[in-house]
Amino acid sequence: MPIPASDAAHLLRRAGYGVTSAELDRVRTSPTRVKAVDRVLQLGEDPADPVPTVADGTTAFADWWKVTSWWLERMRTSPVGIVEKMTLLWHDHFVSGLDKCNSIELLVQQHRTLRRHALGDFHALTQDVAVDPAMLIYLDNWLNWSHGPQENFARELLELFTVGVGHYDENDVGELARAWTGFSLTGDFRSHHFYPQYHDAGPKAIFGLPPRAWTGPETITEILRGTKSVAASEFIVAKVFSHLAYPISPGEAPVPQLATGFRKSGLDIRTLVRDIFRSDAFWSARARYAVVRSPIEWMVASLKALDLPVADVVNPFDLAGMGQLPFSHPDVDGWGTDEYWISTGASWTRAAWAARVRWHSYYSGVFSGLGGGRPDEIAAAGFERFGIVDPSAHTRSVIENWASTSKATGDASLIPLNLPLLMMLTPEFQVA
Amino acid sequence: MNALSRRQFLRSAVASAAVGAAVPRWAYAAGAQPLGPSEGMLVVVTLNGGCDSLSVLVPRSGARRTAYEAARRDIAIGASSLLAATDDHGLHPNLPRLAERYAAGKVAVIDGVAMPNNLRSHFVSTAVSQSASLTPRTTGWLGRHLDGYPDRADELMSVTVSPVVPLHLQGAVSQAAALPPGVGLWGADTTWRHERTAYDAVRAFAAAPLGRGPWADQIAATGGYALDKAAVSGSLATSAGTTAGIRRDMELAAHVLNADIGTRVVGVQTSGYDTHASQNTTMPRLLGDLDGAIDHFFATLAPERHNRVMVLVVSEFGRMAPMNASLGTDHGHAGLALAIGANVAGGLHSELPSIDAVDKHDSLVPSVDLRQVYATVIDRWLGGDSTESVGGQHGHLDFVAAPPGSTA
Repeated sequence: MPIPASDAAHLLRRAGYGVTSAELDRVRTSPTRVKAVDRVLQLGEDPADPVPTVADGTTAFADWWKVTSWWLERMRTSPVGIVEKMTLLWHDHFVSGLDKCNSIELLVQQHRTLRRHALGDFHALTQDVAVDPAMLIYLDNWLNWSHGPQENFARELLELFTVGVGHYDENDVGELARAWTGFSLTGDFRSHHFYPQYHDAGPKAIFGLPPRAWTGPETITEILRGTKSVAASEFIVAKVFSHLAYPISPGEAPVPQLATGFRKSGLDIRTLVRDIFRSDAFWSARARYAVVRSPIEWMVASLKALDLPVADVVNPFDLAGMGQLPFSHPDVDGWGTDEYWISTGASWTRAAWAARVRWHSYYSGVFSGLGGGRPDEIAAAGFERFGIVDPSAHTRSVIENWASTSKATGDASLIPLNLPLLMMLTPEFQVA
Repeated sequence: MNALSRRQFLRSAVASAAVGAAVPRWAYAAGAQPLGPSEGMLVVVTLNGGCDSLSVLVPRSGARRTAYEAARRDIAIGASSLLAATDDHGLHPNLPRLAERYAAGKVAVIDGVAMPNNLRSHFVSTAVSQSASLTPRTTGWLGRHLDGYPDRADELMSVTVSPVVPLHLQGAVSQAAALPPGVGLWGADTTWRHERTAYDAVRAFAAAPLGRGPWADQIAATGGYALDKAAVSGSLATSAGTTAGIRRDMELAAHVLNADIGTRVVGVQTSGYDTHASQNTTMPRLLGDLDGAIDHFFATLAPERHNRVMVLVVSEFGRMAPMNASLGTDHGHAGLALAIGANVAGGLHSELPSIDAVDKHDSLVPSVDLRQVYATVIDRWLGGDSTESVGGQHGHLDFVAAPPGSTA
């Protein structure tokens, strides 16, 4: 017996960016939730390294948009949404911004690293990002010299990237900064280069361990696989779980249990994602509708439902107005989650965009002729197209009333125009 | 859900604040009330990243200059380039218009200010300083202050010129309207019947709980509220003459206050102050932009507003006294706040922190609790009781020369 449509849609919303009828049918036919999870985690269909290339050392707006619009289009069309979902999460975890890196080429290089490890080994991901040129520039580590260590990267490595506040002290930050001295760039700023003459090779005391001559990469291994491995794994699991299931803190069940499995797997992200999707917590009532779609997720899901390409209807000002520009976070902590995306500003910018997109939808013939149907048929067609398999009774009645009123006032011909707008603005479609 | 609980539900879910443009005619039509002629208005400018106080008010001569040069060796700003301020301190050379206001007695400098427990993390420090609480809270000091006003849900009591709402404006029931600069607002045009029908549908999403989790109800409520406010806010959002950055945001802040539609507090955010490296290429640009933006704000502000508006400039922390080898400075503790306005008592309102007697993390030791600044703003400018909004008794500073609406 297939799993319920509401279960399949829940999984698809979290593992990707929307729910088309075809995807719903594919996942629904799974005999069990576990099989459904396996299905959305099949990565075989993901083409290798499809990222477009951009010119050298440029900040050109056109190149930034080329990459950004490509990425959004890929979120919309990829058969393996989870890869995009996790790449976006790591982009928001290991933040590096154009404002400081000044090179879209370097950020594309970092994007490739994030994408390569999106469902891979978290230790390798962290190591590669630490010496990634964009990160070295963004957090000033390329200018961290033994004769005057500078702690920007060391602090964020602990606070934001691995263990979180409360698991280290100020001494650890200072000593980690020393460990990272000399990890800089080649003269052309395009590759990492280690300068032993600028590295502080003396003993450093971190995490209460006996002093030794730590190097930067060794400290990452110590954090993730040594002294701090429990705290770090719980910190990362809570972040991923909050992204895929519901908001949670590191100490709260089932994080510690999932973190144990994550460590046993050697910090394999795919195993973690699979375990989260298989957990009872993921399928619980608490997890349903428990995540607010960020602007990008909401736009991509809308265009997926309407079958409209990103390039035709999204422009950079839409993303700026909604506060979610890829490669340009507000700060190193990245974007917020959930309530961060709920404000009058969000309502205005989303409605303005939806009001524009409905015309593209209208002229491409979506819902054409639907105005002749009954109100309940109109509502049902809207919900189906947008993958809203379980609308609330209230929302359904609002849409049916709207359809009735439109027909009664002689506006039936505009129902195909306005139905997509209303679907995009339903509360149900703005959460995942 | 009865009418009362419905209202309470909306109040807890929704932004509760209002916006309008230069002529408030339509604003009244939309139900917004102007403030009384002696009610204060506040613009909070947040310098994200941790502004280096020693680059704003710079030692020019004497023992503190000697200590400054020793700490900042290669990045010390030349004494001769500084703009006159106090006897032995000057303002950064890229703050000429602020220096003029300072000379006119309209800029209060509170240098050495911080929350007592600064943890030197951007995010923890932002949370601590904007909530005015040593332990994390989900509301901010201004949000809690605005919670105390009578329930006038037709108004935009606070506005932030940004897509998302900063913590200091979050209340338990009041929440700032986030005004997205430059965006035309759906809901402002009521010409077309089919469009009005769609507005009604979006408003109706909030008419009953959906049973689809708390976010869905909050989104519904906020969406309906935004529609109600679109006519009031629409012309403001697109009213700036400049296209981006803090200058544009400060211009919009002035437009909001000129409209006088019940807005008491406007938040403006700017970032880039995390100058771990090459500080002397970054700070001149940032401070030059800030200087121009503040001046543009006062030039845009209607003359009759000047004695009712205070601009408060804050940052999550200051920076270490010594430079690092990247020609920058790392996260410190005590920093600097500015209060600017016609009714501000200008000058230095704090004991300057020592540059050589720093704490064990090379940071400047605070001489003023940030909550004293907040309490002064609440009790002497906005009109309220800071024991609730700021929490406890922290004393006041004397940077308010005259109450709002009177002549200093």
